[in-house]
Amino acid sequence: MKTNLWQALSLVLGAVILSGCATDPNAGSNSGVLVEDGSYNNGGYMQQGEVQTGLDPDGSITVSNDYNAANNGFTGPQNLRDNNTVYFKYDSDQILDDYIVVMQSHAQYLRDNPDSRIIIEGHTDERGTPEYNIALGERRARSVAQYMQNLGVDINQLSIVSYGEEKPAVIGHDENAWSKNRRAVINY
Amino acid sequence: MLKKLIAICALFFITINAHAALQLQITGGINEGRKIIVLPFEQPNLGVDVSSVVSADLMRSGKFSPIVQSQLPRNYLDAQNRLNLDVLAQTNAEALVIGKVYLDGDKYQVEFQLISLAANQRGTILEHRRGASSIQTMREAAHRVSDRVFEKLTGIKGAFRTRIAYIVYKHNDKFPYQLMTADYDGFNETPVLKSTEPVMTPNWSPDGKRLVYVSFESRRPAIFVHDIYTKKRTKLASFPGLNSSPVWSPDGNKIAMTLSKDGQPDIYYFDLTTRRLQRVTNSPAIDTEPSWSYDSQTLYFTSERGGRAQIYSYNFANGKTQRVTYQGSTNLSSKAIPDSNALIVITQHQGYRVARVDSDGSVYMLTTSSLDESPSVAPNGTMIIYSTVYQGRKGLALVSADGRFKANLPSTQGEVSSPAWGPLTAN
Repeated sequence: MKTNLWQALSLVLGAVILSGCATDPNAGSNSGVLVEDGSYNNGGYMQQGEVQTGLDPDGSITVSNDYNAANNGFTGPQNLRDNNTVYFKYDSDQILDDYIVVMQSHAQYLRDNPDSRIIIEGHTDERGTPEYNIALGERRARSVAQYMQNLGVDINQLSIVSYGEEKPAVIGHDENAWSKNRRAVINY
Repeated sequence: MLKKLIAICALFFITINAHAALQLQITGGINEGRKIIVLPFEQPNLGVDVSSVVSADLMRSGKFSPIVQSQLPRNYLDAQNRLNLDVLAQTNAEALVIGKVYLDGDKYQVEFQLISLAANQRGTILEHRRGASSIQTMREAAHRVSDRVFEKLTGIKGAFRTRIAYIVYKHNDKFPYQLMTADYDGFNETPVLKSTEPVMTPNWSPDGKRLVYVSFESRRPAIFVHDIYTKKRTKLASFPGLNSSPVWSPDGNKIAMTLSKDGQPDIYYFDLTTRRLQRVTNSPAIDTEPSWSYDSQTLYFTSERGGRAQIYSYNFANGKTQRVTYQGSTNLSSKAIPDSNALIVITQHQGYRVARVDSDGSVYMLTTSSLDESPSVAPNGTMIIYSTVYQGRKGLALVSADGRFKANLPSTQGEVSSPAWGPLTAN
């Protein structure tokens, strides 16, 4: 007992077609500024371990880099390995007096071992936007690098990277976690 | 008064369990939208209850408050199973959606009618359409019904067949940082990239086929373009210092980004036509978070050049930079709203909240949370998706551009951030 309800005008809807043309960003570069899969030389910046790529059964691409293996290779004094973090106040890149000793001991080691090099990681807590925090993390890392230079460390022994809020030391959403996450870490 | 009676066949009330990676918890504005009735579709059990999808879409748009089945008057069907529109109109609903799904060869046909319940045109069929779908595309077919109903009643294009991209952080996973895409409602989640190192700020190409994002996989930040269909990845930028915040221009020709290779973070764009990198800002303060106007003629960005972070704009036509936001101590992450002079920002006010800055400069708070970030505007301008901390976990949330409708999208696992709403690509 269907009625004329379904006999009215109907429009057939087509299937969704995801196709079309677009500009291809994969074409070659002639400007020299485009990085073509690592061919660009990052003047003086250290290459940090091999990136392994793969294909997951779920269709995603996997990329991995053994961060711990790369960072645990440092065989210097235990004291330096245990004390390699400088903490900051909220939204600040100012070096606090409490951490001058940490930097002095690393600076001493670097001066005594001119072949040693460090990467200073800048980190922030989660407050504010990720993009802004990446910039703040870079300022913190720079701040430590500048201090080390002032202590006589050669600039070629120093490099920096900012992770912003992306690599918290402590997972949590309160001041307890935040105070541990606003930091710069010295890795050899 | 003449009773208008419309008969329909037996109604099947079907409960279906389907899993979304992101659930929906409405936290505000549920009864403030326009009232509408979506009756259960006459359909076989296909794993998708079409009317539930339509009802949820309309509610999530912030513009409608679908009346739940249990609150309909008992006598809206007469003894012959015919609909009594006058009875249904007692709910003050302005319109009614009815429909059915039936087998047609090796496909299913999805057919619906949108019927007015307004006193002056009660019974008028506002829209009647039919379209073929397989079981696999049934959710998409249901979203298409929502798009048609939404556009007919509001004059605004529906954005129910859009995808979102986001980052899931799973602390104990072999690959803790995972870039995902999903339907805007969290269904059909598809992993794109999994990494041991952070992945940040995905952003869509205007054709919806590629994502541009920041990956730390080589232990330094690099910007990649990733074709989600061919899975081909291209490294676009890996300069010393920051390589952050890549955003595709709506015309598809440029990718703006933040680089600090020349000192402090500044805004640049890579021109995909000339294949050249162009510098936009050159200031000793932090400039970051570029975002495009919908005509691709203006770049908005966050700058600390005036002291605290505020929003500025750079106009390509005249090369002029001007400050946009003045109210509020700090404004970040500006995003244009289509067909509007307003901007969505993160403003500092008892924490960080999503706010709308209108063309007269006034700031209108859209949320009351305190750790909001990464707002992304739906391509039809009606909704904003962002990340926030809710019940101790970072997750996604939705708020309508007028601030009325609010919902959290808690994830089934991990902490979720950096949502990016994809473009309207289908017709």
